[in-house]
Amino acid sequence: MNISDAMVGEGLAVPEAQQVCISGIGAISPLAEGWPHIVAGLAAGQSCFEPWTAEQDPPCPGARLGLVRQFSRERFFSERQLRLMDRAMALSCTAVGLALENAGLCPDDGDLGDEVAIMMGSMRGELPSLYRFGGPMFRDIRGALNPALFPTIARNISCGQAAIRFGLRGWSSMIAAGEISGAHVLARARELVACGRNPIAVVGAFEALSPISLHHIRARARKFGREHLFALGNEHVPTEGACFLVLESLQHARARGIQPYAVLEPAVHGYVTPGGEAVLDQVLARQAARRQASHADIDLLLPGTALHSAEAAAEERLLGQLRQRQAAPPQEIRLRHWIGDAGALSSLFQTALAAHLLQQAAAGGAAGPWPDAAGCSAALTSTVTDRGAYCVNTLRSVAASASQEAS
Amino acid sequence: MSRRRVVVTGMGAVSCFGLGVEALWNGLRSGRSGQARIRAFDGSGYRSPYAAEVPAELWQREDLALLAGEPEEAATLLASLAAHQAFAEAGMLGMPKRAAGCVVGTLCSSSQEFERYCRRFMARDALVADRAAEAVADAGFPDPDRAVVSYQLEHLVQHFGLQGPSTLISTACSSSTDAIGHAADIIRSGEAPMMLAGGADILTEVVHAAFNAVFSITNGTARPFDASRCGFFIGEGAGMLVLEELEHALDRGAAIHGEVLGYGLSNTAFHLTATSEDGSGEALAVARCLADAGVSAEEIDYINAHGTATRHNDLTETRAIRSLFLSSLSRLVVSSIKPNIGHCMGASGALEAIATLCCIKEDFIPPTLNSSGDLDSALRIVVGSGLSHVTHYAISQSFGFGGACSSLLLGKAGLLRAAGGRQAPRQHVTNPLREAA
Repeated sequence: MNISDAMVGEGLAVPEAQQVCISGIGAISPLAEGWPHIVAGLAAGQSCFEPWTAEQDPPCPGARLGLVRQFSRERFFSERQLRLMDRAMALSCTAVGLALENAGLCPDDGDLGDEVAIMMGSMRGELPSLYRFGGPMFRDIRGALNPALFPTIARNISCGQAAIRFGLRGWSSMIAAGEISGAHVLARARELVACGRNPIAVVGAFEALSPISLHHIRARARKFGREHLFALGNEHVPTEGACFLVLESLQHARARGIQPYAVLEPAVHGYVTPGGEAVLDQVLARQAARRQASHADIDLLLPGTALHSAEAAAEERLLGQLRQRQAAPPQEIRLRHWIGDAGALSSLFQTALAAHLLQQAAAGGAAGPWPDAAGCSAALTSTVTDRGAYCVNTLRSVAASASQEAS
Repeated sequence: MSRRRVVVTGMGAVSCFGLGVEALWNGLRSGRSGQARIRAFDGSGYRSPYAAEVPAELWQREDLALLAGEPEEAATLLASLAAHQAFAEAGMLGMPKRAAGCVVGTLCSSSQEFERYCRRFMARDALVADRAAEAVADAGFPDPDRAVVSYQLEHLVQHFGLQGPSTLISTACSSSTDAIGHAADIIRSGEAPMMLAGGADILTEVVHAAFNAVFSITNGTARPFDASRCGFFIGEGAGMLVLEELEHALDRGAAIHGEVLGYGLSNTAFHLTATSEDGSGEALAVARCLADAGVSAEEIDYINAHGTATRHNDLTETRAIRSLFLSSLSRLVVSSIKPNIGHCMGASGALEAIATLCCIKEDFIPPTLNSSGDLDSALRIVVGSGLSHVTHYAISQSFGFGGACSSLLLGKAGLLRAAGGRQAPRQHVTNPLREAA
């Protein structure tokens, strides 16, 4: 007996209690700190990439990477707290504070209470600290482990630090499923808010670079035969940073008098296993069923950071139908050339930019190195990985969402 | 419209007692402990040289490696073996499972491979005196994908052909409890009719050394909820469950072990590694779990506690239980299986969920080994030779670093409260201790 496919694609049998909006964005990238500054930097065409140093052992001449050179970690954390934090924690927790601030949630109160969930994702954010903590043991020096560093090897420790600093006692989790982690945790946090478990969720992803993580990135590039891409300008640029969104029930945001960026709709995600590529042909149909709307309204498309030819082919298979079936094909924005290859973080940047553009569309569009988004009402973001994972998210403008609600 | 109900149709386990749920349950029921001197590395220099490792022959059996799809990472081998058993029991081995997904939880998976990677990286530094030596220096690294935690998930989805929603959770020692709840949510929302859920972890020297350094490891026996308790020993293993939408399971005539009725998470927002002082953060996860299931605290018959036997955990957990179950403490029973199988880190939640389902099926609670249960006389800690105890509803709870708290509510198969199942609305749950204050 096969297990039934019947339930897959039928949409939400249980009406969701809440529409979910994005009401805050906080981000730190090599380009800038704070979402408004990042967008301004992107719009001005600023570059945030730099050459690998000799110490970082460049894979080839011309290779570039994106490091966060400075950020205001002391803005939300005391010196004592910072002493216990590794780079991944500092990046992620500062971005959480920025997101809360951007959503008008007063992070300085220090206690947002039981209503706020904290959810994070990372591909390899823990590697630098695991290397640092285990270093003495890896050099066969017994008894030299520093117990003070022990907490940093738990992948969810940033959730704990952010929860302590901002008083977040809502649902809390950490996803570590490779590059797809950011897209997954976003989908997961959205469900928590949609079904009424928490009215607000702070959700995001982070990555921190170090010599060991850069070596790991090179090793994967070698494994998948894409090491040559390091030499081609912006084709393969490892970057670090953090990007967090505040998700909130639309009702809750309205009650607070907040003007959200956009409404986030249900995601569809899964894996392609050998011989099962046909599943990609059905992803958009399943996604349309989940959001209870066709994809005819999608006018912005933000594909992921596919590097490998197999990834690109999978992504094309997934998105090809959308491009072909619409009278006016959606405008495409490929973020990778601006933000680099940011692991789990990429999906968050895609979603943040989509939300920003949908908000600005109502006011005539946002200037920048992207197509004119004036009048756009819905956007689709996709992530496809070299290990067969995919995730598709859609966002709708608040105005479009209100008209759908009214109808 | 009722929400979908989630039942358990398959279980698989690997523990210090060997392969299989039966081996696990027999070990628990008979009050045995797998605690022994560590084989995986030289543990003699540590405060404690003890752990509960899986039987040595398991690593050498080629037939098992083949069944597991020959993963090249130890925790993944355990996960795959447990998944194989779970699918076999669910009658799904060899059947297409493309609509099914997988959520696993782990802390230490791939950490041995990462350690190998790091050792090689450190050696490489010495080798790369000039660029010409680079090719030599770059040889001998383990596969980079095996060195990151997502390998476990990727192997399981590829080996079992799972194309549904799949992800990996890493919330320290509550990882696999969280994973089971997440998987149940995926079924409830209609995204998949069947999910593989659970987790696997292995004993690693780094984690053993670290817990020794912070004095969480006992140099004697683990004695949860005993006034003289002094810590745990680390275990290893895997627990996997096949979760399935009730109607789907009934349609195909699957045997049902029990039901996943509710799930709750919280963050204590108190300390990076310690439990909250008053138990309020932990209680919040359990209160959310009860609300999610629509089951009252008075209806809970049994709690499979996190019960690590550390000074902090057991005190906090006791306070959390007292605060939520005050009116039913006389009939509620509590136990911990960590003295039997050790603290299996990220996999502990899944193995404890399986043990809880066995308790529900058998109406028997195994004893909390080595404990007199005298930490708090108000709590009925099951000690001695165990207890026959009719169990309809039970909670399995896990707490971890980073303030992570996770709770599952499991119920007896076929226990229907109302036609059409429960109608529990998900609701926002405030902190019970704060309200009381």
